[in-house]
Amino acid sequence: TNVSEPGPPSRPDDPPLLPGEKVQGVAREVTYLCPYSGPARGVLSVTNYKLHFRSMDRDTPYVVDVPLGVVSRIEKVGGQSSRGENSYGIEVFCKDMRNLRFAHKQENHSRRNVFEKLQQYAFPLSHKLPLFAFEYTEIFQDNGWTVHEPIAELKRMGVPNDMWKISKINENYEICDSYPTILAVPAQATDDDLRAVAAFRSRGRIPVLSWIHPESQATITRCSQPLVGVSGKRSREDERYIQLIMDANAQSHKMFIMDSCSSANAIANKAKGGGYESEDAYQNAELVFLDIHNIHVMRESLRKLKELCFPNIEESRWLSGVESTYWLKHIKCILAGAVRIVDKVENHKTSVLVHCSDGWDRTAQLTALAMLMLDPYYRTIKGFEVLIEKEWLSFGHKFQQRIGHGDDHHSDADRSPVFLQFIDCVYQITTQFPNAFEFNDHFLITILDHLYSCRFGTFLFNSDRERAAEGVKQKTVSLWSFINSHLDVYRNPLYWAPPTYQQVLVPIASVRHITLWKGHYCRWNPSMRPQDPIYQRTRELLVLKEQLERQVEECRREQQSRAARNMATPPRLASPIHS
Amino acid sequence: MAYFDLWPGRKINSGRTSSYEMNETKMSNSFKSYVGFEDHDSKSLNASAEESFTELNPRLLPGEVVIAEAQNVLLFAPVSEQKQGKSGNLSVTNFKLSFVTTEERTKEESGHQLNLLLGEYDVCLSNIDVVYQNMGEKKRRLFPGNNVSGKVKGLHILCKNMKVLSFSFKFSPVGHGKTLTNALLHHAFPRRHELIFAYDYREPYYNCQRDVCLFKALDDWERELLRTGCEGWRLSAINQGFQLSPSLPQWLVVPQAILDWQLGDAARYFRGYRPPVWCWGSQHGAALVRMADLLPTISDRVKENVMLENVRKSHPLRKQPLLLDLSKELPSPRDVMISYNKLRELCAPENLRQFWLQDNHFFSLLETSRWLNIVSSCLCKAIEAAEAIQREETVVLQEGDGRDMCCIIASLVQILLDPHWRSLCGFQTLIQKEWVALGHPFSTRLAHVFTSESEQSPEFLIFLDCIWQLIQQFPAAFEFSETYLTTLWDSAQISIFDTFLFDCERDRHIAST
Repeated sequence: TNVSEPGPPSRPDDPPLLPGEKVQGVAREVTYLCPYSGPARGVLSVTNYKLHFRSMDRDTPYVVDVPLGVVSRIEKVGGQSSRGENSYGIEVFCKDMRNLRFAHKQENHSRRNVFEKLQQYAFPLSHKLPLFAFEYTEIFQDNGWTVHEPIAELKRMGVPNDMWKISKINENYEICDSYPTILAVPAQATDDDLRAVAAFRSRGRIPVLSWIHPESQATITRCSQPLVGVSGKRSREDERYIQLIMDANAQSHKMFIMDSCSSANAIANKAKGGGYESEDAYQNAELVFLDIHNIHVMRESLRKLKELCFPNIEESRWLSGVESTYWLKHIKCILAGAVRIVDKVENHKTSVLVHCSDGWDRTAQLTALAMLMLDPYYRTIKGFEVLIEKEWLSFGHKFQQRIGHGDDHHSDADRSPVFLQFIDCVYQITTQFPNAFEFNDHFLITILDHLYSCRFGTFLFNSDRERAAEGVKQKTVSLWSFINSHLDVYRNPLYWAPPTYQQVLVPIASVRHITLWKGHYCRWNPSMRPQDPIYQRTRELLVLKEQLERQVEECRREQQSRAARNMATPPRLASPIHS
Repeated sequence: MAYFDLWPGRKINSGRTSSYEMNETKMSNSFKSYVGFEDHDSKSLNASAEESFTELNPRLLPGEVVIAEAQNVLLFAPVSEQKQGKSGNLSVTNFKLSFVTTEERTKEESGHQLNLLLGEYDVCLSNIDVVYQNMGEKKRRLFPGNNVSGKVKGLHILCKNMKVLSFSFKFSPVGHGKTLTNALLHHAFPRRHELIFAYDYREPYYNCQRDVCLFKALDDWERELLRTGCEGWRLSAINQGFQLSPSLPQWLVVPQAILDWQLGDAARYFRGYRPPVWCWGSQHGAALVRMADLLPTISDRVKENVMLENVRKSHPLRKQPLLLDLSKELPSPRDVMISYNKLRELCAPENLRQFWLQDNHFFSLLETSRWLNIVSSCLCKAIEAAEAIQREETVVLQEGDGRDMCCIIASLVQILLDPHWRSLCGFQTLIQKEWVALGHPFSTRLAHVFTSESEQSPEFLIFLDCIWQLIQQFPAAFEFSETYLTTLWDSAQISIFDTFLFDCERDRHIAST
């Protein structure tokens, strides 16, 4: 059902092209050195979107198709003097847990051209070229840019109400350039209050509403660290503002401030002008440190995990190897933090304010996970898209910096798999509650694939302000347009929609329950793939489910009409006495 | 290994592992097979359960008697801080350790399935493995046969199915703890097989074994030969009355070319008098054969070679069989037991503190247990054998007595190659054939009878774990679920079902006549 613009006429050798995609370079007689099935000889093409290899020497062609956004580094292997088979070529290092090696023939000089094209189109920003998302012209039925309407989403949660209002003070990104234009803040707070609070919070990221409990009115709010500094500065306005958040919840005279880093790191932040709320200054607020490590530790952990999973797995020390990457320990720690937030909000009806240093990495992980556990809406496909749009994109998780789209600084210290960790945590919750989610893990993997691909505008740039300035909504396609146009492949056939299923999910944050997501991290290794055609069965189950639902609906209708027929002549006029 | 997960039913001992759907209740003066219980009526049991619930008396089965009782006992929640408990009466009967409380089940507990033979907090005596006496912070292991003379503050009990029970006698009348502990030490570890509850159980015989084949009669083996279309093999009556080998069934399938007297003569050279016997074959004539090692006193392999030559002749193409020496290539029962103990330490932590301590190193602790290695090597060996059979080669599995790894590998090979065994009924039939009829020493391996030189080893659990791994990899290939596997393992520890009570068919036969 996709309507595509006709592209340029394609040549027989061309790989399949997306609307807006053009072949930039082709090399023949290239050998792809597959770590699993051995070398394959064929044609390597580079487009402005992808690297495409198709083998010519096998009965069923072997195809490698990698969006260039996934590439983090490209290296030449061997020189003119290299001897030995397949010792001369290119190695491509990817952000999605794999590396690719191609061997070229020295004599036909095919390497130089391909290497140059790869460099240009894998790192367009470093070569003054546009990201592919700005050239991609496919049109989808569904418009993903309308998935998240901030005011509608706040309305869904009953905001504005007596205690919370919608503020447009940041309409021109004056208060905070990494926040969205629409904020929900305590109704009592004046614009002057907000400005004063912004002055006391790192990068102006004031405490704002993320989620409100539909019954108790306990809230999850988020912000950045207070600018306490070594001298222990205080801000009356900030203290009063926190009190307003606490007062907005009549059920509790207490509040929790969850600082996601360790107390040692929080103290160290004081030296840099930041810090944490002292319990003397913020009365009735209890400060909790969640001990989640910083972006650098996480990056290192993923690097070790990649080493372990790709290309080959060392069988005998696999489990201790997984343990030594600490990846699952970090996942556990993040989940445990989110569970603590859920416990306070749900069981103690107490509001929780979450921050880390800047409030755009660990904070986003924690608030989004807690909301996913508390509110079944976010477990639907559309709800999950809203959750990402709201907690990650609009509140300024720096996707550009953390992923490094189109940028060749592969060792940039700002890169970190923060969002990947969040999706991994979501995966862990789905394994513990297989009936609670409308989506399956193919949905999660698709999101991760396009986190890097640069085909869609969704994950480009660092903030709403940047995206608005670049006209992302006008010039690019949203990932949700693509996903929402074929929802069926992302549906979980075992989903029980509420109210049948429990509202609040509390996963067990123990390593005994946390598993390595092999379907994602080990997916390039054919021996690690599931042997069962799971996708096919998923589809069959969905069809069956639909049929049964239709039957139920028919039966219900028939029963109703029968009941209506059997009723004695109803009174012509409804009378209050009879009702 | 990287592919394997830990069977999560075993990941944490929640103390609620016993999720049964069993309706099997009836027994005869003879014994009752565990298999084939599906369509049995359980109304009477449920009714009596409700009546006795308020009285704090254990619900008794026919033939069951109370031996000792302690009142006002506290039962701690499993893997807890052991600060709060449920109050109730604890008793030892000739069948179980039973805790009865009037306190309501928590919401969490009521979501779980119940065993129809056992109450929520009961365990069968044959399930009890290790008993500790709580002494403040420390605990002391109590050995069967020892009598406790002082005051007993509390008990910590570790079960064979990894269930953990912790009791405190703090509020019990003086002497109750001691009496109960001594009764438990005496009755949970019988020294003779006849002391097992099955011999006291009085229920009329109820036959409900519809389609499950027991491999007792001539007919059963004949049908299996016919089903597999295996030619070149015949039925022999040489073991009638268990005259040849006590651990083999009365009917044996042997090479067509061999005469009974030759077989009888050769058997004397094999451990346990177990010469090669057929257990399964493929359509094109490759067979799966099990045999024991030659006796250690025999140095020349003539008899073995003669037998293998006969096996070769039974192949339609006279192909040389592939001989797999399982005792050399796979872990011994002792290795399995050592591994199991380490695994249990990990799966049944004593308290919450230990749970979180282990959690920090869970994966390396799991790796050190080597449990998944054993599971993985069994599956690898089964794949090797299955691949040979697919190449139309006969496979001969050889191992010590031919009654441990042979059972595991022979059943796995068949599960891999023959979808027939992946149904519920087929799986039960397979267990009946490879484990029960061909003589896996269940009583010894599950330690139903206490001996000082224990040869306990959960080989059967290794097999069930292998099946669990297969279900993970082929979720649509099996008719049954993991709950069924858990139920099977739990049932193996219940001293009622004759399936898992005996070391061989002969013992089973004698006990029932």
